[in-house]
Amino acid sequence: MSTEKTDAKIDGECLALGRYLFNQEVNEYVRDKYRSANAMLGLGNTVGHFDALLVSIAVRHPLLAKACDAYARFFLPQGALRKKMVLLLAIAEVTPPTFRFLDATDSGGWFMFFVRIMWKGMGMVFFLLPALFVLLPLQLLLKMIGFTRWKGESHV
Amino acid sequence: MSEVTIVGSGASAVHFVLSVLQMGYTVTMLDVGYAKPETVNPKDTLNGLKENLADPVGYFLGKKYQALILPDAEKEYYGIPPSKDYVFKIPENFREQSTGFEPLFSFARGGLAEAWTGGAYAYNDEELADFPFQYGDIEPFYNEIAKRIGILGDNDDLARFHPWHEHLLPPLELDEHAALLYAGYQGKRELLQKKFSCYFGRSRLAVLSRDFAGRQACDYSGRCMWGCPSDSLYVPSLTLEICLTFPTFTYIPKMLVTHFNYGAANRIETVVAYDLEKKQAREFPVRRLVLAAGTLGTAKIFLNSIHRQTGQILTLPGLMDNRQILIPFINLQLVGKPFKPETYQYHQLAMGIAAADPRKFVHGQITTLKTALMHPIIKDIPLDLKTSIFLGRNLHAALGVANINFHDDRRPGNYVTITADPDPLRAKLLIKYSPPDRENKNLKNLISQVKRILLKLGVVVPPGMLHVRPMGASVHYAGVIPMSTASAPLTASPNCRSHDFPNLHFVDGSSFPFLPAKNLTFTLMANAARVAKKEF
Repeated sequence: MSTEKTDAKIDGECLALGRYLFNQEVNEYVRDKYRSANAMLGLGNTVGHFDALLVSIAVRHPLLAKACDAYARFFLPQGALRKKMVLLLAIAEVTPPTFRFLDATDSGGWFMFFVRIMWKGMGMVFFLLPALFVLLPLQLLLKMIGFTRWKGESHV
Repeated sequence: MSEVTIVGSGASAVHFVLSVLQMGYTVTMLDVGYAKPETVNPKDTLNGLKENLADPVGYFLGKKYQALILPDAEKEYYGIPPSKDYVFKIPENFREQSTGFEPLFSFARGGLAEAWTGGAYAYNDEELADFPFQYGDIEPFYNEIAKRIGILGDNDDLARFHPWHEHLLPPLELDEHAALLYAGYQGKRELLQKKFSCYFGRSRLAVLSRDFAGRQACDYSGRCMWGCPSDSLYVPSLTLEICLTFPTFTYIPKMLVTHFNYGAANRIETVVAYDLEKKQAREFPVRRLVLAAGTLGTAKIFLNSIHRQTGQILTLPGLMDNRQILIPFINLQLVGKPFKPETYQYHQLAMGIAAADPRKFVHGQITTLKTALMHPIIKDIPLDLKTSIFLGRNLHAALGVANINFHDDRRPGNYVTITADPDPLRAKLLIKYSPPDRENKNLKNLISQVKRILLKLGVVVPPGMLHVRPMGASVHYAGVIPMSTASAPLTASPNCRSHDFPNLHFVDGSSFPFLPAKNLTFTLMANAARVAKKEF
């Protein structure tokens, strides 16, 4: 894949993950940094096949991102998807305007916090269960048939 | 030739040098001396930096993203900020290998305390029981250092453990979270003291609460961890700057000292350094040599010197370090509340847990998280990342960390030695450390006790987030050439003169015979001033 195409793919990935994590479009500076960090830290070219698949599913839609995020937390906690999301979070928390979103609290006090966290917790379970049924067998299958490394393009 | 040659520029080195310069001595300091970068935008607050810097990611995470903590990293709650990289930079020629120990070395101008959090606690008589002097003997030097650097504190419940010396400045304004915790303690003071032998008070900090000696009072910019822009948080390079105003002081940087040469009656004649710029060895004649390269650096120079002269590979037993446990907590009263980033960032409260044996006093520092980066914490929350971010945003004001420190004893199984190599530059420092017997059980009991104490203050410890730091992480190394009244080989006199070499002194932690739980830096500085006064 050409450098332009790879960059566009990484940019798209950054935008999609930004929308999912922060409910906003990340700016060009964040995309630049995300791109350079992916290259510098080798987050694109050394990942496993399933790892790569998980990222490519997550960037398709925020609901799919939620399912992949929940799955990755428990079944691939050090995988590429979580690394990429934590990288984006680290960039966003020191960059305007996203740092202001990350520094802000939601209104409503203790009670609303409790309601929200219960709702989000149930949401996580709701997305985790179908992800578990689909992704876990796939992960095991790919491992069994020896597709351990991504052999295609250098970026997922 | 100077009357005194000193190796290193850390906290003890600079205070020893300032003391002897004031007495009229000529001094040469040999140092690698990696210098700190220029302070960026000194008037900006932390959030101001995020807004105004052209490349905030480069500043906060580093050009190589070295402060980024990914999910596969070691479980630390903050990385070393890129602006402090110079503190832990190691010359390529320096070699070490450790077992059971993860040491940090500094070759910075100012040493490891360029990256400290300012805790400045005097040792009391019980903690000095193994030292060949008492609190009354070192108290004038605690007073002197407090006068030089500015230390703040309060005459509170912890004063029974941390002696109340002169020249203490009033404490800083507490942030909202720390104020709540302190009020909680005041309300349950009797219960906590009676049931848990637990005492709270204000941290003793080498920070200014008013302008002092050309330095500004803390302006609550929230930038402590990235390097205090107003110099209100004391670092040793500030004292080095004062030393440099003396015409009798010569500072020679880029020198990695490898060994000294000695002649008749073990009198040291020269010290040899590798010039990192010219990439060749240089020899400096000395009259009196003072080693202040930090416990491990000093040990390496000492062992190399004996090996070169005699062929002997010696072992220095008794290496000590404070075990540290990080216990993150959530204050339920602050859940969902906003936080104020313009505050002092490091610990403002300290806690102590008394023990039947006063030497086993447990020291804790309570840091309420305001401006620390959140991604290292958020990544460890056992939920999907989006939900974890929600939690991080709404719990930020409520988060804190108790850093619990334990004492250490000199034990023969913990030692430093070197590999045999005719080239002292190539010789490797070998470190071996094993924790004391029953450590796990003792830590478990203590952790449970701290959790119960925190619960009484309305604070909960989330499961799975506690971190027992590896030995070496506290960077409070001591004990390999201890002060002793007996004139035994590989020890030092009560005034830190080597019992092996008559014109050699040690003024770093290498001569400490015991390591109390509390931070040793203030005592290092006071002891260095004491040695200057008693021996020079």
